[in-house]
Amino acid sequence: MDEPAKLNLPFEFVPIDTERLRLRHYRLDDLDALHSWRSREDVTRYQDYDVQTREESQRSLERATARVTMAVQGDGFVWAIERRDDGQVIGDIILFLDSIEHALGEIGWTLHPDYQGKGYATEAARGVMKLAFETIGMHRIKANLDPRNHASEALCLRLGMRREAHYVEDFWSKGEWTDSYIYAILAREWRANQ
Amino acid sequence: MSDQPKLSTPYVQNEPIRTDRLILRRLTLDDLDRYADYYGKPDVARYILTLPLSREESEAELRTWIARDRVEQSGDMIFFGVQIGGDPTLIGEVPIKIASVEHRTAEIGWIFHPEVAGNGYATEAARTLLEICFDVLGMRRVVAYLDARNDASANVCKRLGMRQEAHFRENLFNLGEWKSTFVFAILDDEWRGATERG
Repeated sequence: MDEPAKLNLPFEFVPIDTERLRLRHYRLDDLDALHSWRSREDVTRYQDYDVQTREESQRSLERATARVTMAVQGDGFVWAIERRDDGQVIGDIILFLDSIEHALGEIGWTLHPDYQGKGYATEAARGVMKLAFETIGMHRIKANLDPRNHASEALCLRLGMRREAHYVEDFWSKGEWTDSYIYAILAREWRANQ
Repeated sequence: MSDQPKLSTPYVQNEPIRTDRLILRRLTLDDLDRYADYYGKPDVARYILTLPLSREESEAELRTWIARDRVEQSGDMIFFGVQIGGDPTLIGEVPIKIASVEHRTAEIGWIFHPEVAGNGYATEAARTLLEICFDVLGMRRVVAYLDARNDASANVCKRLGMRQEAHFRENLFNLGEWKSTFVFAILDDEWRGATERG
């Protein structure tokens, strides 16, 4: 018999500090930062949303700030990724609860292109995974990405995730049938890598 | 959203569907003895993520599915009862579920009494489900989820021309153990190509 995972729920939002970053709750005055990447075609190309107007970014920001408790399936957190040395918000990172019964989570990240390639997303994702596995008690975390998004795939591999699915043309996005990759990692695999 | 073709829904279970050896038809309360028999077996429950059902639980489940005879929205599901030729004895069931109207994706499955295993009945019934999905409903993609240890079901998928697209490790906790899942899939043009080649 295996042990079921015991989730520490309900779980209230907490900020996360890493070496160079502070992952914190979004504030309504983060709109300029959020809109700076959500308005870019090169950012949204592989995301499940289209280029946003400022009003749409505003609504996204409001939804993100409303997420403060993880209690039931579908709940999640959105952290603004703030650079500690200058306070610049450079992207965001999410953790969602996919299943209580099976203790499953999903992670996802977006970084402004000006700040990519410096290991910030890796650092932020490690901070969120540590919280998900060690504090919330998740058993498995997945990431869903567009196979053409090589930067995100490289990040999954750096995090020790394994490609577990290649769905062929499983959804219609931005005028074409699009594939998906799903990467995943188990709690014990995460611990073994620490 | 898109200029893609729309699904031909609702789809309602009506006349029984005949295959070479089988008839796919509506479930009835007369099926309860056989239904409770296989849902009570741990080796059946093991692969379909449910506890073995008592007779009372089986009856409640059967009544639920008898009452559902149409699919239209995402999440809608129907079960066809399967029998061999004119013998009304239930040998298993095959479900169709609309996974996504927007992405024109269906999910299919099969549950058969262990005593009829090894005769190709699941493959024969599931092939009919693919015909319904692609030729009647207008689906673009059909998927099947199965326990990664269920070699018999993986072989059914392969015989149907489905491709293994996922192996999820320990994504389900059930009956005291972590279980892994395979996902198989096939697209409409692959199905048509395979059908034309015979």
